[in-house]
Amino acid sequence: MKWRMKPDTSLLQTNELDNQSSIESTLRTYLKPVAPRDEFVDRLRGKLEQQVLPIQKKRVISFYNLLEITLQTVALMVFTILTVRVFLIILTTWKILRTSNVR
Amino acid sequence: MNERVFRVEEKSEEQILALASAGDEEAFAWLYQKYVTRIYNYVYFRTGNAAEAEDLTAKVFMRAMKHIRNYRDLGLPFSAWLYRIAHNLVANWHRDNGRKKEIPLDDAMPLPVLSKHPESEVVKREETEKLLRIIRKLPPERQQLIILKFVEQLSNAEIGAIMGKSEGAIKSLYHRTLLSLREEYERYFDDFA
Repeated sequence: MKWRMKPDTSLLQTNELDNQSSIESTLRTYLKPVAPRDEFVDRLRGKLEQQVLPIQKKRVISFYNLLEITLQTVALMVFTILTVRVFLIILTTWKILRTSNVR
Repeated sequence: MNERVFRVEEKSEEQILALASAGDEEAFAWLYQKYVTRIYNYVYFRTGNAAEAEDLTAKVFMRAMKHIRNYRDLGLPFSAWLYRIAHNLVANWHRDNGRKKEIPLDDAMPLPVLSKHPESEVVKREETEKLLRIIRKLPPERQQLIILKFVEQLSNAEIGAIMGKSEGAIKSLYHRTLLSLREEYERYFDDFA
């Protein structure tokens, strides 16, 4: 939209702006809040919700992965300890039996 | 979901901010609903174009959502953080588009005040357009001050909190802004005389 209005017909003439209060009153008169379109507000909310969901899903998956790895590690440690213990028991028993046989 | 929204609304803004920082999407939605119009207004009056204002407002909230986990309450209002993001994005936009480019007000823009007299609305709209052209000739900091004071109708203390200045500094800047606005007016009308 091009400028067409002549200065002398303007509501914002320089003689109205001689002091601070006239500028303030001009600003108060013409600067009014505008409302964004409802369609825009709703669409942007939808976009933001779509951005949030994948982040939360990803966090849940990574938590379960961590839990799985921890449980596997604990199970492996328990299995190793039990195996070593059983082996030691067998070894000890075998030694005792061997000693007793020699006597 | 309605129960959740109700629960969020029972909390103070500080609590909601803490929830949003922890990744609560309902809390962020509440903040979005509260501030979207204010940020849109700020961007709209800085750019003068409804389509650009929508685009930049979307970027402000996308960026806010991305960085909300890093948000720390330093005693400033949350709006100050959002306005800072908006200010930076608008500055980038002006840099990319050339600061001296004339931007007409969007024809599709809703008129600020609805009236039964369309002629007076047209005149008012033209006057608003002229005023905004003059305001956009001011430095960005002064434009921000004018918008926060007259569009958002914030006090000097609130503007100071947003702009990171003392109330006294805002008063002084406001006085200088009005003087330079008057000079711009005189220059503008001299050009058309």
